[in-house]
Amino acid sequence: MKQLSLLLVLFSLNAGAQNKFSFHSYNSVGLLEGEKATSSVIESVNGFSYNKWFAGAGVSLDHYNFRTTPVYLQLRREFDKPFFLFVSGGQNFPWVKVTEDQTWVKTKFYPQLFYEGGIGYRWPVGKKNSFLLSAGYIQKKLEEVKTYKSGICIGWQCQPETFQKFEHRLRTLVLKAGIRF
Amino acid sequence: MKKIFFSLAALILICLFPLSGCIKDKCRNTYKIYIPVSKTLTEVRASIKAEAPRPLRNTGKLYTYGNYVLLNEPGKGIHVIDNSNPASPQNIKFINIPGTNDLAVKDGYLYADCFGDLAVIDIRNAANPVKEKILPAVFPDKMNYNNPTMDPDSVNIIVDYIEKDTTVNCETYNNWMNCFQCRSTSQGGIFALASSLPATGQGGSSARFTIVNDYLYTVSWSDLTAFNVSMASSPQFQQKQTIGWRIETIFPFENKLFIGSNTGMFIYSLNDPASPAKEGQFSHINSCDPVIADGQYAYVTLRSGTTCNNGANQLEILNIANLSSPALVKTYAMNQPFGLAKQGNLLFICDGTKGLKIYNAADVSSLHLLKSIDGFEPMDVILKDKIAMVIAKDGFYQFDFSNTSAITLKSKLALNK
Repeated sequence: MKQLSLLLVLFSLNAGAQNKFSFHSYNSVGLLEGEKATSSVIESVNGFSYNKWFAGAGVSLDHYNFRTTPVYLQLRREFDKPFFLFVSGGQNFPWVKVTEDQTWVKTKFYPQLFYEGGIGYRWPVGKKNSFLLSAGYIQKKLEEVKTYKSGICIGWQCQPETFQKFEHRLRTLVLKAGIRF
Repeated sequence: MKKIFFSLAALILICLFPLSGCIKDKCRNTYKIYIPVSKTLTEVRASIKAEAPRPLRNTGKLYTYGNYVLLNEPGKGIHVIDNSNPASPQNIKFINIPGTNDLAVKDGYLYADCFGDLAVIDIRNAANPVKEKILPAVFPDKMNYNNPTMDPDSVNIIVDYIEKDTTVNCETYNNWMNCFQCRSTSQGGIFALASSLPATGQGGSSARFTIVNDYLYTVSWSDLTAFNVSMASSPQFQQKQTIGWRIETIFPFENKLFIGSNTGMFIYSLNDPASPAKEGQFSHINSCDPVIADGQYAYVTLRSGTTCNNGANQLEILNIANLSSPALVKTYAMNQPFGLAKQGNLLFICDGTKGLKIYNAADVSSLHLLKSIDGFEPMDVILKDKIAMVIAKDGFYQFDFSNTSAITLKSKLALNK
């Protein structure tokens, strides 16, 4: 396993007393460590907290293996010691740049499911803001369909297209640093 | 603060280490595998026979003969359709001919390829076609055996494929094959005995077999072959000559053969019908080329999107007054044209996804679009009387063009996959 290096995002204000029902925005950058490579992720989750619970909607830009934009719902639980747990679930949308020639092979990607879960630590900075550090596990799925055009024709009778469907299941460990405001 | 920060970081890293086994990616690959079904050459030849009518599963070459339409199903056989009433064509018989793609008819005898053989079928009674004879090994480029005198019991031919969806890990090497369509039988059918049969029938612009007087001419990948069919029941091989590369179509007009290929259009004289002689050539960009002629002009469609090297999509009209040197008159841009046909001043073009286009071609320098019929993908067309018989991706259509201001669909035989 490769050495993980920690990223920095440092500016904040102290959280102060927590409102019972209030809006928060969690924004992080992270490192992804997978079987194939080390990559990066950026995320933003926005929602509302009530007491120790937070629920919100998030979007990420995940560069592991295929560039995708997961869109998901996230649930967080904060504890007295400022640890927190979170889980996310949603859809993983492809944003893949196809570089191979599409004349005889057409490549198309289709969204599949996205999951994430992890644990983190929150340092209050100022009254309302916090610095976050978390570690977790991501699984994202993607479907890739390659359609092959034969082009072999006699007159207008051509051999039919064939296809291959690839179901990718990509798993990474993630270390994130961010801010909450 | 600093102490907590670095302690936490170390704790997280330690916790993550054991999880490295959980980050194994997974990939599953699903594809169709085609498992070949083989028969011996003896079995293939024995299976050539008439059967009960089958639903249309795939569309191939079209041929008209008297009141009948003969519709090739690529690789499988020929549907016999009673077209006495074009508004209600009846599928009356299926002639099982494995490996067939082309056909022609003379004096009530149907000639069709059967892999490397030429099959002769007596269709004088179209309700009861009978195999007459087989000329073995006359199409060498369709044979998978080198020695024509080989014992046919020892020659295995792939006649079909069984499709099967297969899912494996992506790392597993996979191999699959393409196949032409294949399907099952059906029941039913009525028949009528034609009172008089014309000498020859009529093929479309994408034909690779054609009849001129007492000769059957066929084109293969690179060859032009002549058979003497003066005795229609017993064709005699005459001559085979190599004429080019990637030959696509053959079209007879007057005493000539117009041959479309990926490298251009060839014109062959039939002054000596047993030995056609090259008279002229028009070379142009590399595309797949059905060609027809009306005596003064030749009409060629060029199409991209195939191994014809992505040429342009267009109609070319050539002046063939000087056959040794045809001259390009005009080029018209098209969508993705396939077969074409002409009757009088009416020019019909099968233009792929843009449908069937009908032009007034009285002035070839200025074609006037009369009608565009979309909603289907026509491939080839035959004009007979005032009926346009069109073979499309999804079936067989017939349009009445007796009133060019109101061209109407008369009937459709849909595919039944």
